[in-house]
Amino acid sequence: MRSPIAWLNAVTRTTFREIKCLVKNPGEVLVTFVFPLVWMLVVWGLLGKGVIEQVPVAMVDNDNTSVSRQVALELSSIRAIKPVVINTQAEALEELKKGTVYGIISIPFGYMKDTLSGRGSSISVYLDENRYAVAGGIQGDISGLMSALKLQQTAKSSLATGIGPAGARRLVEVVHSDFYALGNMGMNFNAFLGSNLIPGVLFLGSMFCFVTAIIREDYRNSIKDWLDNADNSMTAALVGKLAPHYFIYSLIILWYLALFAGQGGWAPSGSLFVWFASALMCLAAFLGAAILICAIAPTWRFALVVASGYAAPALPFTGFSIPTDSMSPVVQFFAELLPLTWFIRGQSQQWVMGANVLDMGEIFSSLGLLIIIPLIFGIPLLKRKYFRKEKNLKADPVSLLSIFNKKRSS
Amino acid sequence: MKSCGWTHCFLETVKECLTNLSCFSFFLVAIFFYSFYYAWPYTAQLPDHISTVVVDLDNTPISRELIRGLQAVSQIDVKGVSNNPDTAIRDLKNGKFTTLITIPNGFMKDAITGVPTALELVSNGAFIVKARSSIAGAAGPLQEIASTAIAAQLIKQGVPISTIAASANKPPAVIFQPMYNTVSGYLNFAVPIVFCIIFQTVTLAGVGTLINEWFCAKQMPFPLVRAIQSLPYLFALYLPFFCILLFWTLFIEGASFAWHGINSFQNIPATLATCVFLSMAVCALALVIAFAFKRANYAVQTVVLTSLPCVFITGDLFPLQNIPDYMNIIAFFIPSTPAVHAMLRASQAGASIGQIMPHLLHLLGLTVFYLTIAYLIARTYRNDYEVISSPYSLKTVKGQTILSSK
Repeated sequence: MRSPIAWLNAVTRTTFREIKCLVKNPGEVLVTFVFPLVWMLVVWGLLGKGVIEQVPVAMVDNDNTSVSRQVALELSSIRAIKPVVINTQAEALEELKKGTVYGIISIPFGYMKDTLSGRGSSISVYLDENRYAVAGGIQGDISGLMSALKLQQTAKSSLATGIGPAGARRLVEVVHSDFYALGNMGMNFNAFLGSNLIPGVLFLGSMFCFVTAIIREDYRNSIKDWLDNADNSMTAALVGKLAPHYFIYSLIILWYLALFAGQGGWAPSGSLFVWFASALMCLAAFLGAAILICAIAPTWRFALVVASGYAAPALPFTGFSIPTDSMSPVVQFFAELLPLTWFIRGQSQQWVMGANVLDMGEIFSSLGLLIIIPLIFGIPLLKRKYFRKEKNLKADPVSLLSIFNKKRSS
Repeated sequence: MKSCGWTHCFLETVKECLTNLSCFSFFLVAIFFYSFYYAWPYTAQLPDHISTVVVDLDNTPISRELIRGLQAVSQIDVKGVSNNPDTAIRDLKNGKFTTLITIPNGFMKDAITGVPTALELVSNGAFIVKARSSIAGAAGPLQEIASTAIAAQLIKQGVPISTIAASANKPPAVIFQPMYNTVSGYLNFAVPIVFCIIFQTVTLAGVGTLINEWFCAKQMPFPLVRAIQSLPYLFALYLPFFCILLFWTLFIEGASFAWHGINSFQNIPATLATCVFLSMAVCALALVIAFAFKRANYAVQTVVLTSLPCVFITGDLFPLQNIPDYMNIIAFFIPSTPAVHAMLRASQAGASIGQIMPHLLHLLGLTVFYLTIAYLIARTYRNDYEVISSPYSLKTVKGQTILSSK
């Protein structure tokens, strides 16, 4: 039985060995630490101010009267829209097809006549729903403006009844809604995408970082040296190896928090410490998954394939784009098996909702399970695999055909 | 000695792509798997059934009518009605509900007497889609109550009922017509964009893995030796990747999208042209990355990490006009950027080849650019010991041929 001190010594030796390895491998440092940082900054810079503005939209005024021009002028005041005057509907549809405009605002013939006669007339807005996010923003802005114009008209017509300006104002405001999008009142894309995409990139980077650190021993045929360094204790070997990587990623996550909550100004209404703690737990869950993947993958290259398949497409399951509420129960259950889902929830509870740490119980316990379960299976499997490899180091290059041939010959 | 002409190089590369344990999953499985896996969360299409709790502090017939209206709309799913705002706020913080709607005390009285009153809707701003959907859901029932209250006030003021009825029967001020994705579905919107990125990422990772393994092999396989030594053989290496990717682009745009009910191939020649040009540009970039990494085992880590930013850098999720110029310069050199524009226009919107010509020319330019770089990098490896000493080296083969003929 190894004493705790001996185990800690083994961990320390492995950690120093790992740091030496990293210093000698600037390529790995570049790929596993610097690239995720660069992409984090790219994503942060990508969205600019985070507000949709001055997007080209075709304006087709088929009526060309004072009322239609007035409506066109009112619509031009929308921040998201940059009207591009086009003479005919056909030309505008061609531009929409080409993608040069995001939508068409079409004022019909006889708009003024129908409006003034009381029959009423509708403006048609064609939106390119292949660019749904932009189209949704434009739609919201236009319907908001048109509702305001309608209320204005109601107020004007009510003045004729002798209600007076104050009465007209009360009339249009009688029942309305007060809407609060907590944490992001302006529906800013920088806050929305930054808070989802950047963690997505960072945790994907961390996954590759952990997997690369483990498989490095495999492709360099240095498993024996690594395990000898850790007194043949797999737990000491893994803790010593992955501790520096975990520490560096903790710092990178701190940088993300500083960038988002500090420089970006999206300060948490809850605790920054709890937010960071949930990120650290998510990082540990990715670490556990990395160990399990390395343990079950038949080759080290295949471990990279599985790591990509596990971590890269996880983001849509978090509910950042289509809400988890809208997903089927099976998808919802699957989403809950992914650590990123829990981190995104925990983050929103701290950043937006200001939840108490006691209210985070479900999130911390789920992340805890996602850390422990892969480790329970991963460590013994990896131990078995690597101790076997240590005994017969030289493995033949594996291909599917060679496996088939072996089976056939046996 | 084993024959290793141009055709053999081509066939050997195809065989390796499809049977090598390290990369067959990229070439054979990944795109097929993602065609279901990635589309899975989006199959619901519309962001609806947002979990909501209503706090009814008024508890009057009008507030109950409003709750019934809210229960009837699809955008929100009223999970509970409570009279206790503290519990509801606690549940909101716990994440049990996404949206909290509060009907204030005296709502009915104020609505009837014409005193301004407000329905309070609180949502999570971290998820814009959820927040927008909640607003849309609450707007309809609230509008009905508001219209009734306004009408009641107007009648009090002596406006004839016929005038109010005529006003109520007016057509809507604006009619929205969704184009190319008529259900305004998330699946139809997100999947065609993301698949161009998946084609790119999977191919770059697959080619990077295969060529890296070849570089690391004790004896370099002949397709790689020949590709390094001669331009025609470089095409023998490039062509299998192109054919495989072309197959997958056609599979996704055709069979897969048809199965998912996503409109595609609206203009057949333009979509085919886009698939060809996309495959050309992506495979050319894949060769550059694979040759640049050579024996460094980091191609997959580098490439897969770019997938998330590449989706957003295309300018189809967030408008191109609002992305800073320096980002657009980076985007210019990524094949997925023009590929997404061309594919959405041709396959979903039905644009003709002429209409997407700028994007096709962009892809062609990138193909030529990256193939030239790949060739130049490959040239630098010509004097490598592994290449010269290979039995498949062109020089060695020529020497043997000359000797045997003598």
